[in-house]
Amino acid sequence: MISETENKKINNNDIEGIVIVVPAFNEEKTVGLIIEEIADLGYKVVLVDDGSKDNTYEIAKNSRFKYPNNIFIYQHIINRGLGAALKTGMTGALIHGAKYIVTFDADGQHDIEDIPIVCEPLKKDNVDVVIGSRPFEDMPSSKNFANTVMNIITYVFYREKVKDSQSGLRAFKTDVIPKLQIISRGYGVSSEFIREIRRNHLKLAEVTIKTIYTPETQAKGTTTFVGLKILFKMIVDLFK
Amino acid sequence: MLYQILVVIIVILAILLVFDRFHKKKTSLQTFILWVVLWIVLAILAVAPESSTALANFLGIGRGLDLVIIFAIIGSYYLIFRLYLKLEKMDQDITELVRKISMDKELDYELDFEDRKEKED
Repeated sequence: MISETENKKINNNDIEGIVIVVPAFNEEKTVGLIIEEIADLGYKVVLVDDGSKDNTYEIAKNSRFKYPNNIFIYQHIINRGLGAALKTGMTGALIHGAKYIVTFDADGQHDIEDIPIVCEPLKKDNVDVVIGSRPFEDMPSSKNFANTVMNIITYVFYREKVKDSQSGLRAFKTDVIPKLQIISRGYGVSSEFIREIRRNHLKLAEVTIKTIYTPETQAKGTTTFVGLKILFKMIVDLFK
Repeated sequence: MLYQILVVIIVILAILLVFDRFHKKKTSLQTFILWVVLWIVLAILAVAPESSTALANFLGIGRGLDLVIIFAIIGSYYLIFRLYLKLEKMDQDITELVRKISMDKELDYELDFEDRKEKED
């Protein structure tokens, strides 16, 4: 057990300056486990509880007592959506000394082993943003369809071809964060990141990540309905 | 005709109400004038329906009633649009507020945390 923790701490240089932003809305089943697992590897975690109605905040608070130097919590007193939560989380990450910011979903669909994988291009190549793309073949067909449509819509509106525009696992260099103008407060934020990458001519890399599909992770995210909502929003934004 | 008398009474009451609000400084001068003009136009249309026909002919629209309905629809769409923009603005303001509170609260929590640690020691 001791040798295992020592083993993890050897890679201290690799995790230096990486802050993981975890937006969470009603994720009491998974949130504690996920942030503790990440903190256990030595990363700093900024959890944003986006006005959850369940015990997400209390569970996260308890996790913070276990890892007081690694877990930081921000709470939206009312639900404001994914975009707003990510914005708060990124601001929090900057406060806690981030050099690289990784966004990570709290529903347990990402594998923590993918964190160093999405950070690697930021450090080694001169890349500003990394998107972890989920292999579409692994997705349940309804999600596959919705995400494919979202990719096409993102391309039509923002002229940027990406493998997975709606992925929740992304990595940013902190100096690009102030350039990102994120207005959408819901799921539309994922496409907005793509727009901002293009607008600011940021260097983007895409790496393949694992996705863990459980009943919980299937209920949320980009369903066809959410896709339609995002499309409507994009059209409205054109007229502004 | 009965409906003409009714409309005129309603218009007079409405203008009195708006004037009262203006007098108590609850509405701005612009809103006050806008409402008074709108109500007066309504009264004129009710008392002398032919007047709308004259205006409609002038604008190239067949009947007076059509003119009224067209303007009513355009007017309501404009109001809906204004409301939509206003709601969106409020929505953004609320988000800003919530984010600000969450930022401030983290600092409070830091202090709270110190307390709990001291008690445990």
